[in-house]
Amino acid sequence: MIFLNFFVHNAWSATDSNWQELPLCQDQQEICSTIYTAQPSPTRNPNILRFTDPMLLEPEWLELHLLRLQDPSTEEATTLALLHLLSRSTVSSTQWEPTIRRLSKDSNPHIRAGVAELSKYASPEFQLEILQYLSTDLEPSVRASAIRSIARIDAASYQSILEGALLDPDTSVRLDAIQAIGWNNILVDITRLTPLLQDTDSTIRMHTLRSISRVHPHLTHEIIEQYNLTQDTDALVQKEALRLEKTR
Amino acid sequence: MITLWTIFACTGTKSTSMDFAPVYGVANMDDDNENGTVDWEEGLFDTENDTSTLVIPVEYFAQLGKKESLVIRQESDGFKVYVDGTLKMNSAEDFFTLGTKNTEEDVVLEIEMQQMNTSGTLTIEKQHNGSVVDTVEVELISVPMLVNHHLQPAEHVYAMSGSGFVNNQDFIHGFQDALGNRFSSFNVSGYEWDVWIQDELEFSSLYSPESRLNIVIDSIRNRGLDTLPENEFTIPDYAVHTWGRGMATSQDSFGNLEASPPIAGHPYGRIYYGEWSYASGVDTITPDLTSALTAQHIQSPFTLDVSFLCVGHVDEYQSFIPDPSSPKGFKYVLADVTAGYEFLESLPSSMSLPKYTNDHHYASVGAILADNALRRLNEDIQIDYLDVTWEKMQQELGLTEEDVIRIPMLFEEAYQCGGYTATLFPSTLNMVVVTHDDGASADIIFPDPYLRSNVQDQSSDVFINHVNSLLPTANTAHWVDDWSEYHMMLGEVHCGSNTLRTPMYEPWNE
Repeated sequence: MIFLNFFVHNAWSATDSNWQELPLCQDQQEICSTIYTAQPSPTRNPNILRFTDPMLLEPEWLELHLLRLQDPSTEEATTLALLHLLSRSTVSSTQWEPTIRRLSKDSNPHIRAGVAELSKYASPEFQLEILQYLSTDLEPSVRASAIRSIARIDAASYQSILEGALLDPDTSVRLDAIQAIGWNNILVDITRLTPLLQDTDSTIRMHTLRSISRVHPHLTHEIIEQYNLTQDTDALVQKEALRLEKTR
Repeated sequence: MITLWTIFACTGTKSTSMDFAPVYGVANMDDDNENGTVDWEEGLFDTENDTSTLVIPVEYFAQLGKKESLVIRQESDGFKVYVDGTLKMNSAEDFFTLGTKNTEEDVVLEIEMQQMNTSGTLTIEKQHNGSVVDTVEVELISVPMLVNHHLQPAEHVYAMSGSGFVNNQDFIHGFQDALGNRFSSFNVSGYEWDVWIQDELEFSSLYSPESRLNIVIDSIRNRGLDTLPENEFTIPDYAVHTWGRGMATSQDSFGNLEASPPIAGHPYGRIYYGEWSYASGVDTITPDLTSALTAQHIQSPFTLDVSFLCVGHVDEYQSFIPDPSSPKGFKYVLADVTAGYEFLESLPSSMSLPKYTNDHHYASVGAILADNALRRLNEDIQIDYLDVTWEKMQQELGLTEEDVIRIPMLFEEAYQCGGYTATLFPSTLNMVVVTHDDGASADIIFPDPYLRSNVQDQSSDVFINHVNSLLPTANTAHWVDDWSEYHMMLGEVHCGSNTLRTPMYEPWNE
């Protein structure tokens, strides 16, 4: 199988029909056309589209999917559906990482966020490269996607990124970071966590308390008292503080 | 207010008091003669079956004096009154003479009602030489619309069927095997491959002692199935109606609109639906519809927080099933992640899960259990949403621990959904409750969880066996494959079907 990883993204044109020139497609033009033009279906969430045809998952079609990912005429929804398809693929991620690396620089933030999410299923080296890069993206949704992916892999290796994300100007990024720390019991120093107990967003305050209870359980009661969290202005923070007090 | 009225006959014989019970009816919103005109907009015809009857017995006329007559007067708009098929009144202040002493038989009035959940009055006057000497009122009540609940018998189940772009024949065969002729399907290719029939329409009922009309609430969701309600249910005794317009959110889909079984104080149950909160607002069912449902009064809607879900519908994680052995006659079934982990921990960690390997990235039970971030995510969901839902259900419906069955379930972040979740296993809670005519038992269709190493051998599935053991004995479980076209598309068997149910009449004003 010829792998077209030398192909330049911006110079490609769908009208060139380059897929037809693939050796893979020489004797099966019709099938290749079907694969290349397959359309994803809306899921129950209308904003998320996915491919349902199990044939598309067969490893022999990877080349076509990667070509389509590099096609500027491929619509956003289709691109995202292809990324989801890759996440389910049985092929080694090293076969699609070069193409996805290029997509990490796509002008569309939704696609960059999709790359961050797909990175969970890549090699550790690729994960590190891409997630470090995308965790500093200009777009908050991309940074958040990177943080959420970090939360689900070897998060402890990304402690410095997570600590930096606690200071992110965007609420969702800070929230994802504090959750990632708590979910993975990452031993972030308490002095880096307590400032978020005074975050303007009550959801962050609540999850910070919860993460502290997971990472520094022996300090929980002291923190609740020190920051008077049972009297927080928000009912959810109060409720969490009371819940944790009951579990002492 | 109805007043008692005594008539003294000239002969001095004992009088007969006139007293009329309220007349209940349904809004005549359908098109029984299928001529393209709503029945209210035209006169009566042979196949019209949505009028109500008011009988003035001949005894009331027999007791009138020589110069006396009974006259009926309409006090409210929105009603029509016919005698022998002839329209006699159709607006406030209309009147006509019912009869005199010489009337020799009962006078039978047919009453037609325009709008649901309204009331009006007819006044019957005893007149002497044209002057009113006494009156009695008759209350007219157009019944409210009721969303159906799971203790109502299921008449028919519908789904979308395809064998091309969407290929769900295993799903369809599963329903056919379980339900036989109680199930039918529509061709999904004619509806842009949109399989989510639960979301596009909600069957509800107008039901009086004499009439029944099925209201098909047509969502503003308007995806591929947009025209299905009009195409398939513009038939006699059905009326398709949409409340609201404009941009729909996921919460406008009717997997997010359900009704509980009857509870104390609410003989038709209560409506519940989900609210999805985000930084700057709340998404929920369009206010035009929620206002209309609230205005019906009887089912007193309340909301649940579904903000943890990618799709965000109340049917993803809870339901109700018949249980005649329970104090309330039903069980509330709710997803529980603590039960989910207890269940998994009871299994060999080496047990392989072929279905989950590529599609969910867990090759074995042990792989799920080893994912600590997943466990913490699920703990958060239990604390912040599932326990809160249970508290709300206790508060709003008066449920207690003896009313609930906790179903093992886990959640995961749905791919490309910004961190919001869907169930990891095909959601057992997203079930189809096909209630039997007795209202006390059901065939229940569940999605096959595939929590087994041999995907071909459903009998080896420990989760299926476990859930079967939790079910009340009155119910029969059927486990149907919905993996590719439904579960991987963020829905399950309930989302992909819709059930027409028989209304159950109870006196409205008691």
